[in-house]
Amino acid sequence: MNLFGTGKAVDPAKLARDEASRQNIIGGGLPLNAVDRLTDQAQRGREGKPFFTSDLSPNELLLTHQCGFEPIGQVMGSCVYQVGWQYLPQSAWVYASGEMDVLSQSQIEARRLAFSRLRQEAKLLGADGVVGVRFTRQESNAGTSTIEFMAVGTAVRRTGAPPLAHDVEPFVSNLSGQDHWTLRRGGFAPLGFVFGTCAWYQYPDWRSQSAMMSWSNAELTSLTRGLYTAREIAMSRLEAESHLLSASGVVGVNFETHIEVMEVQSQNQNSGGFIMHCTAWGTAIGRDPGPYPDPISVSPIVSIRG
Amino acid sequence: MSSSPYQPGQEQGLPEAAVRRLKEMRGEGATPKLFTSDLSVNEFLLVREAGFDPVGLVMGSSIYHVGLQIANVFQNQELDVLTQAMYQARELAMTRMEEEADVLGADGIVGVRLIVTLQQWGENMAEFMAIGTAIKHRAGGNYRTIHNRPFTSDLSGQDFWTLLQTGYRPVALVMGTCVYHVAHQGLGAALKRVGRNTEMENFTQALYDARELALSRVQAEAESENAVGIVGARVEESSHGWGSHVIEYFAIGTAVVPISTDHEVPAPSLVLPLT
Repeated sequence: MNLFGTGKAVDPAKLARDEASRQNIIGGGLPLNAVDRLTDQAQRGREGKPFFTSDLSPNELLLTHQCGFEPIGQVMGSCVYQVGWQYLPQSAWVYASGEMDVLSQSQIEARRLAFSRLRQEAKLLGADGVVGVRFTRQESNAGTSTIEFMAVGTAVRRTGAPPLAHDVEPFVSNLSGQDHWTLRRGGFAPLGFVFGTCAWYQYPDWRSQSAMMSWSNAELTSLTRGLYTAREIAMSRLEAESHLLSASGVVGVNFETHIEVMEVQSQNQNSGGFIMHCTAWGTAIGRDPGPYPDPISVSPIVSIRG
Repeated sequence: MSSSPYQPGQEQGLPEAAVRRLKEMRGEGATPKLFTSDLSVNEFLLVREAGFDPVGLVMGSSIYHVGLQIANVFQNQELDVLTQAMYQARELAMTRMEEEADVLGADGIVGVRLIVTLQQWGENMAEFMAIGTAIKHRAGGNYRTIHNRPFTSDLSGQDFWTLLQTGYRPVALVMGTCVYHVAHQGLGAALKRVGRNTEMENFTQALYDARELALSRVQAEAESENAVGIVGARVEESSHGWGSHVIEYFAIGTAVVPISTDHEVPAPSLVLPLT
């Protein structure tokens, strides 16, 4: 009996397949439709009829070829994640400051799942890396306190190189095709996308509270300290990820702060604390001399276009 | 504006965790050396080409309560309490950023951005942030200002490279600010101009006054650094939500000193992109 459907009987095979896809997603994997499509695409390549999809512009495609890579296919990793309930940090004293670990961990986990799926897709295509990754992080409209992380890029294979071993992960780079070429030309290679975040709850001390009420200029020192703590934790996480990749540095770091006020009602009195959100991401790089002469030479030009 | 002279290597404004993390970035810990940087790939390579290595992304923050000042409604005047606040909070953020660069053993900071965010959650509360990439010359040498601070500059990696090619080097990010109250008109004056084309001379005059004050302050800062000039100077006018009669005039630029007498550059070649 199907009250709202089209009246067609539901195919039990499709139901079983949907359920299998769901189980894959629960395990951090890919839905079956994506797996099948990518496996097909890889099979065509092996049979000598390669076909690639890519969101690289023609210039980027040319430069990607120039640094010895050929595109295999556009890949994506996505994760819609519900942020759980966050209780305020508590201590013996009622008002305490501390990390809001449910908030921090939701971001870290959503990002991990999205990028893991991106790499799984690339792996299915037999890729060595993913270039030109565009990363978006937003509130999702799937429900209240739901976040959505998405990474889209082009899987590439090093021309003429043997496929990666099973336990080697493909590299991920959020550089444009131009930047990727220039970086390799300068003797470096992208190693991965690195990310760090922290949400910190800061309760203002009495000095900051009285400064907020006053008429005079004053630094709100406890809030500044809270912002620093959040930043230190976020940057340490970004740096820890970079060390895991044995990077020598991180370029293009994007750093964002956001301060949110939080009204707290307790024991018949109103008071406010602040949530300090800090997020940073960038591209981890490492030395890779490649076939290029070092150092690069630069000469000024004037464009006579326009 | 700073009270005590800057000591190289000072870390007064930095929390312990920041000092520890920065020292680890230098390689003084369990982890190998690592730099972070908000330079783009092109900037990164150009800074390296100029003989410098990035050593770390450095930041300084201050969350500040801006005081209150009641202006005479019918008078054009500087609101010195607010001017002081804007100066002091930026100075705090800049100094903390410079201290971080010092912990990293840097010569200076390029691509500095000064960001002021007025928070909608608290009245008169603002977040000041200075952020940039600390760099260090591979061959050593003294690139500090005459006040013993690391050099600071808001130039991009491209501009930094070009400036060095032309025989100058940046010494300090200099700024001047002025918060100014524009007089309201009396009823009589307002009635006189109803329906007429006429200049709002009190606004024009106030803008000029504020601009002169801000520019003379930025110039004084550059002169105190023994600079020969300021490049990339810009002025920003904003009211930070103080209403239409209070404006901040903010001037900022990079003070430069010559490193050679020769400021000739090879003539650039002309290209016509076919894209």
